[in-house]
Amino acid sequence: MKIIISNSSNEPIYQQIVRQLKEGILKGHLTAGSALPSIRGLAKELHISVITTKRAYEELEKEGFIETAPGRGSFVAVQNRELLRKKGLAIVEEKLAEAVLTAKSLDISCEELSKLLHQLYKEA
Amino acid sequence: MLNLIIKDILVQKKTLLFALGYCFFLVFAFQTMEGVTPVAATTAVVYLLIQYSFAYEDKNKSDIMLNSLPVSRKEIVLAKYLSIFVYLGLAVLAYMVATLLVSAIKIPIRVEFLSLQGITISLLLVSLMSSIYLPIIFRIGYLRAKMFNMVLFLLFFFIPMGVVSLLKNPEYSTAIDDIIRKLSSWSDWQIASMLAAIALILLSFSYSISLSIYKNREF
Amino acid sequence: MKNILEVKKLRKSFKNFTLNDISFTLPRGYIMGFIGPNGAGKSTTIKLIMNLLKKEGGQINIFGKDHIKHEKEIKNRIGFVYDENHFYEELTLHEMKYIIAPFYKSWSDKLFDKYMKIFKLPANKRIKELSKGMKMKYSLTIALSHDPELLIMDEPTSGLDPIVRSELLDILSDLIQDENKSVFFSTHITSDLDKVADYVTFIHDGSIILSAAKDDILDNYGIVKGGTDLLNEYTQKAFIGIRKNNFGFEGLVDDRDKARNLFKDNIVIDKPSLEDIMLYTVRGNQYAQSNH
Repeated sequence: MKIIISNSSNEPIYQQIVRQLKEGILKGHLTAGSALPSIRGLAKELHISVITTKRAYEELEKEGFIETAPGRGSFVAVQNRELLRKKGLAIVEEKLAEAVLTAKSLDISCEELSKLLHQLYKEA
Repeated sequence: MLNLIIKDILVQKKTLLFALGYCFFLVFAFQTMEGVTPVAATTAVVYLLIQYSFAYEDKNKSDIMLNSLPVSRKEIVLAKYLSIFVYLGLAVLAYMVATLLVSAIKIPIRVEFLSLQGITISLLLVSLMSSIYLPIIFRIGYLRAKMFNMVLFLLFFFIPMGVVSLLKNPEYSTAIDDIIRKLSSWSDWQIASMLAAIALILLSFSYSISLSIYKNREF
Repeated sequence: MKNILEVKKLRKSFKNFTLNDISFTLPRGYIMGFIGPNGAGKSTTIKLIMNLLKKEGGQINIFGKDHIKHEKEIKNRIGFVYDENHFYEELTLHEMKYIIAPFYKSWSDKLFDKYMKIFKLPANKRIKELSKGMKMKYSLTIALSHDPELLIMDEPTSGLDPIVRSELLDILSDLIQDENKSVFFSTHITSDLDKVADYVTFIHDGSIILSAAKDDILDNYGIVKGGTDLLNEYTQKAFIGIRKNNFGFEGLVDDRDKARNLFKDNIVIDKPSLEDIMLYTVRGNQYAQSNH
């Protein structure tokens, strides 16, 4: 698992962690039931505040991505594929919406945008 | 508590050696002065050790450290008072070593050995001296108390001489004679314990003053 | 008991300085950085906590207990490091340990040896022969060898090079891997805190300016940059401190969203560092004066 923190980014650090862990889970790098580093251990490794990692884990727990058992640590939650897919779709939708907004502000047409999307999909 | 006293001795390892040398010196220097050498040597050594112990605290600002440790201010003050006796013990030891060595190697000078009487008088002098200046050091710190202590120390050298000459004055001699007569009916042990008791009373009175001063000190 | 250290309305006055009824709390399991310029009252606060100075008012609770009533018990569970060395310089590191160890009920020679090894400290050297950085490491070794629950440090990083400072910060992170332990340390080098601190308390001129989770502070505060034409008597009030130059202004706000609503897209908002927050707050008034 890889987590990269940028201090100069405008995205709060806890959100950077949430995003990267989510990606890891959705892409299957982190499988259900596998153990995550402890809140304090992760804070130490990343040189960040315990509060930050705690907040990130709380967020992930709220969204059902991970489970925390007191005294045992945190684990990737067991979820059905359907649910994971839905969550994944929600993320894609969010990012596409962002792209659409940017496109609109630059007067890029829907056609142009879909063309770009197809091209990107092929290349990826 | 005990480690506070041990600490003062550990810090002063060098001073202890110096004290031994000092005793040698006094044995030679004071050989003509009858009855003075043992008392002068032990008193001076104790004075030195007390002064240096405070000097080291002052130099390292160790009050800040000591008072951050789990130790009460009462223990810190009490340790300084108890260490007076330890220093006296060390001084007696140093003097005995010096005199024994001098007589063993048969240097042709008159050596005066320590007697019980000498130790008791030293105890009384040391207690009197400490009772006055320990509260002063606790109040204003070692550096500022230093000048005052020097004066005090010199006075302790001269007062006895003054007293002796005073005693020779016939006006006082009858009263003194009375006391001496009374005292001479006592045994040595009785006199020694009386003097020791006086020393203890003085010290405990001084201790309570020092404690109330030190308890309110800020660092 | 959630809070390991509670300071309530603490008051102390000197001839030229007053600590103004300051309050803050440090929960168990976290690191709190105590920042402020020199002379702001950091050392005074720490000395009051350690009862080296006598407080004039207020309450200090450590481990939930009054810090004077239970002084000895509390100090048995505290480790302290001060900016200057207060050990007996003429002793060796080993001798000094020999003196300190018996004071603590839970002293562990094993822990002591462990840190001596980590820091590569020479046991038989005299304290006065150590460099500034080594003295600090030795103080820390002594402070940690009785496995304290609360570590209190006054400017431990001042005068140290960045490498030693980063070593120190690693040790602090290590320490709070145990969630019952906390660290409270003062510094005027705020970059030390940008990383490890969980909470930040900022003192200025004897008063607490803010005391909160570092993340909250850094997420809410912002450096706003824009053209001076945006500034008027009304908009200027949104700033804690502001600095103008020939090409525009830079100012600190404590609510980024509010600033965004006020100036819309005419401004750039940057994430502040703790140093920015400290500088603008301390010099905010001066900047304001130079504007009139």
